[in-house]
Formats: sequence, C-alpha cells, structure tokens
Amino acid sequence: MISLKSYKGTRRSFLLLLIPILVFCIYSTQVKWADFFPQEYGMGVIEKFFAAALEPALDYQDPDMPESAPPFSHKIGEALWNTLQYAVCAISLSLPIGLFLGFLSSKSWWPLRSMSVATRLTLAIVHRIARTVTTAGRSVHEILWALIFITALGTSPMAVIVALSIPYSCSLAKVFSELLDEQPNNSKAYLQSLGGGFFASWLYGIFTISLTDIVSYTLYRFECAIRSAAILGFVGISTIGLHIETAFEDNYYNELWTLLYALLVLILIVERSSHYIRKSMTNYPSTKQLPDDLSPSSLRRVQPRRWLPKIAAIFVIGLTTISWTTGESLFSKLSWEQRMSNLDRFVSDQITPYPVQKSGDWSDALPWAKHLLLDQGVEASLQTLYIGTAAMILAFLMGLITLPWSSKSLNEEKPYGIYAGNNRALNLLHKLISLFLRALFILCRSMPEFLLAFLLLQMLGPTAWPLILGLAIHNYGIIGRLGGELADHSDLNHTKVQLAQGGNRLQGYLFSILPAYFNRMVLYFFYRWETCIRDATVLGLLGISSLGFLIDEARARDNYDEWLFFILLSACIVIIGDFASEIVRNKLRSSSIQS
Amino acid sequence: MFQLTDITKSFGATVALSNISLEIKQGEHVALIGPSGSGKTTLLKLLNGQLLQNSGSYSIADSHLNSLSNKNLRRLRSEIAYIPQDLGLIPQLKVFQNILLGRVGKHSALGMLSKFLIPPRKNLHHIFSLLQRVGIPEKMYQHTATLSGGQQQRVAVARALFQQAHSLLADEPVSAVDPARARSLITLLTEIATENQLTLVMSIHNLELAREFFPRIVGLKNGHILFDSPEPTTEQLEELYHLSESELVEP
Repeated sequence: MISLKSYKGTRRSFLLLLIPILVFCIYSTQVKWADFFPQEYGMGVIEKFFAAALEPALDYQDPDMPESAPPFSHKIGEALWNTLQYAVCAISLSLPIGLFLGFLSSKSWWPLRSMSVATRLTLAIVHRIARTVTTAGRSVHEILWALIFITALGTSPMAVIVALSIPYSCSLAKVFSELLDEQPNNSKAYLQSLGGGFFASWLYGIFTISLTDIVSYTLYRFECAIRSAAILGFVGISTIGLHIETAFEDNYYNELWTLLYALLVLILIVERSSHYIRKSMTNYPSTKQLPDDLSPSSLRRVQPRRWLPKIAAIFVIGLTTISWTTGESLFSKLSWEQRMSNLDRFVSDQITPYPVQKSGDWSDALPWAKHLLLDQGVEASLQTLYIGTAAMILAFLMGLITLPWSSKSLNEEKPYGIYAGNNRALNLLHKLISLFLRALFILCRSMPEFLLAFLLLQMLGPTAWPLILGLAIHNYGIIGRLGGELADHSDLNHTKVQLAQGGNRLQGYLFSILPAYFNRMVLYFFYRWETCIRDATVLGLLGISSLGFLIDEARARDNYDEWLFFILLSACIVIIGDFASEIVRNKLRSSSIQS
Repeated sequence: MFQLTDITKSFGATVALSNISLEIKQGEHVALIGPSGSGKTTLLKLLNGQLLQNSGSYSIADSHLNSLSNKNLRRLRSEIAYIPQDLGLIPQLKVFQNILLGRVGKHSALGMLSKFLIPPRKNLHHIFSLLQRVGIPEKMYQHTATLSGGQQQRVAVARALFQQAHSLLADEPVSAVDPARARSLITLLTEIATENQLTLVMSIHNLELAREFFPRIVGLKNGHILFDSPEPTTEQLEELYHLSESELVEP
C-alpha cells in the first residue's frame, strides 16, 4: 500500500516565496512604511490635483501669457501630433529592421535536413550575432538612447526617432523570432516535400501562420511607442510629456489635466482600434449562404469581403507618409560638419574616462571603473533591482487577487454559459464589477509608468514608493489583461464541471483556472519582471536614488565618462535580468506540467 | 427525483429539446441513446441545472429550477455528480486534488481552500479507498496529465463518488475507449451506482452496452423522445438511427 505521505506544492511555494521577497525588496529600498501615506505638503498637492480633474483647462492658466502665443488648443494639438508622429516614424522604421533581425535570430528557416559542418557553423554564427545585437539594443532604455543621441549629435527629431527605433526594432525582433520558432515544422516540411525552396517553404509554412501574432504584437508596440514618445518630453523633447512636466512645475493643474486627458484619449483610441483590428483578424466572418444561382461569373461578386483590415492598412500607410513628410524638417538645422565635430568631441573627449583623458593610458580606466562600480554602482544597481522586483510582485499579486472578479466569462450572468441561479441583482453586480475592473486595467496600462511615477512623486514625496507604485500600477493593468485572456479561454471544461458540481465563481477561479494556468501566469510574471527592471533603470531620472539617478547626476555635472559608464551598467543589469528570466521561462516551458 | 414536464430548450433558432416530459425516480438507471445532435448532452445539462429551459417546468427533488437562488442552486448541484464527455479534469493537478474538488460545491471558497491546501487525513484515506475501488490507488499522487485516457476516466468516476451525491449524470463516458475498456467502465459505474443507491443517467452510443446494463432506455431524436422502454424494439431502433434524406450523402 502506498503511504499517504505529504507532497510538494510548487504553486503555493512560489506564491509564498513572493511575499518575503516583496518585503525584503521594499525594506532594502530604505523606504519607510509611513512614507506610503502622503505628508501634509503632499496632501495639499493631492487636493489641488484631483480638484482640477473635473475642470480641465480650455485656455492658458497663466494670466501673463503674451498675445502672440498660439491658442491653447493649438499647443495641445501640436504636442499630441508630435507624440504621435515620433511614434509612427519610429515604428515604421523599426518594423522592417525588426522583421529582418527577427528572421536572422530565428531558427525556423534553417534547413530541416542534415547540413554540412560549414553551413551549420555559418548559420550558428549568424544566429548568435543577431541574438547579441537584439539583446544589446534592447538593454538600453529608449530614454537613455535619446540622451546619448542628443548629447552626441545635438537635438533633432531624427535623433529621437532613431533613439526610439533601436530598442523597438530589437524588441520586435526578439518577439518575432520567438513567434516564428514556436510554429510547428510540419507545414514547412510538407511544402519542402513538394519541392518548395527553403525560403518559400518558410514563408508559406511558418511566416503566414505567425502573421496574425506578428501584426498583433506590432500594434501593441505602436501603443508602447506613443507612451515612450510622450515620456521623452521629460528629457526635453517637445512631446506632450514636456508640457505635462512644465504644467506641474508651474502648478497649472487644470492645464495638466487637459494634457493628461488628451494623452489618455490618444492612447485609448490606439488601444481600442488595435483591439478591434486584432479581433477582426482572428474572428472569421460567418460565411454567408451562397445564392442558388451560382455561376462562374458571379463567383467574384459573392465572395465575402472584409473591410476593416483593408481600411486599417490604408490608414496606416497614410499616417506613416504624413508623419514622415509634414511639419518641420525631421533633421536638425545643424550642418553635417557641425554634427560630425559634435560626435568627434563626444567620442574623443567627453566619454573617454577622465584618468585616460589626462594620461592617455587606457590602463588607468580600470581602477576608475572599479571605483565607480564599488562606490556607487553596485548600490544603485541593487536599488534598481529591488524597485523593479517589488513593483512586479505587487502587480502580480494584485492581479491574481482581482482576476476572479475581472474575468469576463466568469462574471457573465451565466458563467461559461452555465445557469447561476435566479438572483438577478447578484448576477448583475458580478457583471458590473468585472466591467469596472476591466476598464481599470485599460486605464492602468494606458498610463506610462514614468508619468505615473512622476505624478505620484509630487504627491508622496521623494521616496522609492512612487517609483514602485508607478511601475506596479502600469503592470497591474497588463497582468490583468493577460490573466483575463487566459480565464476567457474557451475550452475551460474543468471550470464548467466545478460550477456543475455546485462551485461558485470564486471557486471556479481558485480551483480550476488558477491551477490550470498557473505556469502561464508565472511565465507572464517573468516576462514582465524583465521589462520592469528595464523601466526601473530610468525611473531614477526623476531624482530617486537608483541607476537612473546616477545617470542624471553625472550628466548634470557634465561628467560624460561617468554618465556613459552608468548607462552601460544599466544595460548590464537589464541583460542579467533578461538572462535570468529566460532561464526560468525555458524551465517552465519544458516542465512536464505544461499548461 | 428528476421531473420534466413539457420542456423546450432552444439555442437561438436551433431547437435542442422540444416538449420533453420525463420522470426519473431515485435509484433508477437510465441510458440515453440517439444519434449525434439529438439533444442528449442538452438534456443532461438541463438535468444538472446548467441550462434553464425556455418553457415547461423542471424540478429536482421537488424544487423548481427557475425558482432557485444562486446559493440554493449550488446546494442542489452539489448533490448531483456530473461527468462531461471530456471528463473535465485539471491536467496540472495531482489525481487526489482533482478528486478532492468533487466537493467544491459543499464548501465555501475559504473552506475549500483550506481543505485543498492542507487535505485532512480523513479525506486522503477516503480518496485512497475510492481509488482502490476504481482500481488505480497507485496513481494518487501523480499528475493527472501523466495518466492514460482510461485511467483518467477512473479518476473522474472517483471524483463523482467523492462528491457523495444522490445522482450521477455521465455524458458518453465510453465514447473514446476500446470496447473492452468501455465494458469494464460501464460495469464499474453501474456497480457503484447500485452499491450507493445512486440515480444514474448516462448517454451512450453503444447500443449493446445500453441494452445489457440498463433496465430503462430513452431514445432521443431531433429533440423529441422517440421511446422510453426497458427493451426497445428493432423498429424503434431503426427509426431512431434512420437518416433523413438530407443527411444521406450520395456515394
């Protein structure tokens, strides 16, 4: 007889482990629990800030505004357009590069039959190089890329677009290659068995299958690009973020709200339209009954047509063309010579380590770097790590807790189509709460984390809390959406069984959805954790001690050698985070209890 | 136990059940037969209270389905075990955890959580004896995903037994196994139902097994009850499975 021994519960161990880690991270960022609550000054800001929410300004709040200033609506419109324009240009540049790099870093196009050693080696080298380029490009945050370009070449819209495009191309490439590699090989193998060439077999057997996901991810990145473009305003680019920052500094809260609403509306429009585009791509229209008098000549006429993708495509092409061609020149007025001399000074003087500048001997750089690293770097890197991790754990736990009330299918009047009883009010309440929470998720993920952190910083004062909370709120919206998609997965028959056995909605979540999709949720956790670490490296630019703070401070002191050193350090942290997350995710994917 | 009077159930324009009247008494064993799309699954779901009829009246143990509050409906359901065609097991959970969840309707969410996280020794012993009854005690701590199809069916039976219900509804439990396994599972189910005085309602495609194991056979076609008898005649069966002209495909 087998013994009724105890067993290991990996799911609960993971959850239980998160809490001490969260406490440790928060404790280590040296914030006090009391700082979580706003002080007297902060309360004043909060009151004024939220009081203004209902009265967004329709005109300048500054009474001394000169007559010659453009109308307020023009200012808002221009700021929004600049934001959108940068995002459109950046994505249109990133997409082809991302596709190319993604193709190279995927193994899906490799020949299926055995290869010669030379071919295998060449392919492996190409693959490795493409992977390294994508990792390196992604590891530096777009704000930091923008700072580098502006410092090296001078301010110009083109510099900003390139700065956005580098990490975006690489993110696209990384996800594209993962999507391509996930596709099974059988269609490709079949096409090859018919005599198809390697590229054609890949194109029709792999690429077309992943196309929906590729478009879907590109649309998501476009939405992110708008957020990134907006926050570039915080480093002096004339997007909406710049106006938000100055409005706050001048205490023009009503103007601030107008700007926030404008940004939110822009992001929501993009978010909702990409939602419908994605939906229309996966939802096939029900085929209409063909007429009885079908003849070869009428075949074309009765063919079902889908307009949304076509209209969307025309709109995208139009918007891209306008973005690249209108407005002031995307290139700065600096001449080519000026720019080259900027670059030359940047490389040979500014970023060369200070001891090397003096002695000309590169061996002096090592003690300099060691000193910087031990003196400030390690501490700041750990702070960054703590902030990112604490934020992600908070977002994840909050997401898990609210999911049973936010899931659409679970909170329908008939959850998963199963009659729930005749308490109309209760059933309606479930529906309303879920609607509210899902709207909250959209709102949370629409707000850029940097902007959230900036606003919270004004209210809670200069501690790490605003950074943690800003990151956590944004990621809560994302985890909520990803979790909701899992819960609304159509083939959850075990949830139906639990409802059929008398379980309620919460039990259906706790004992069926949660265990069945736990691995997937943990995958999402690590995927977002990696992004959190990356975002945490720049949040310090707001003035809270972490890597971003050191970067900002070095720049303020004109010590560009130290500045670049800390940027590179942040890249290292991101790469380490990526690496750690990838190991865990691969382990989870290959484990036998796959979801 | 189950009392259906003039029940009609439709999904949009599709009528799944029309004017069904049926009474099933406590402890009866009933087989539902009929071609695909005849309404067997809809009838079983209706018996379980998962669906609400469009017209007619349905009562389980003297309570009318549409007059039940959410809470009372749950209580009622916790007394009816239901095994869907695909079994509805959670592959990521261990066998004993899946069985433990048979009682999900008998506890509050927190109560169930505590039993789920720290299973009482008494429950573990009970589950072990149930697994012995269905013949796979050694699988108790295995992940359900690692079990074969036949073993998973046994886990679903054990889960239904653990529920300690008064009735057991099973939707084509043997549709996906070989004839020998089908026979052994039906034997097991009917034996268990007899031992525990359970009302057993099962939809089944295999006519031979239905005749052999069930004292009452209900034939469904296009949402109507065609016959309800202990021993359907050959003519009745022919009519039941006779394809209409539109369903016949020319060779």
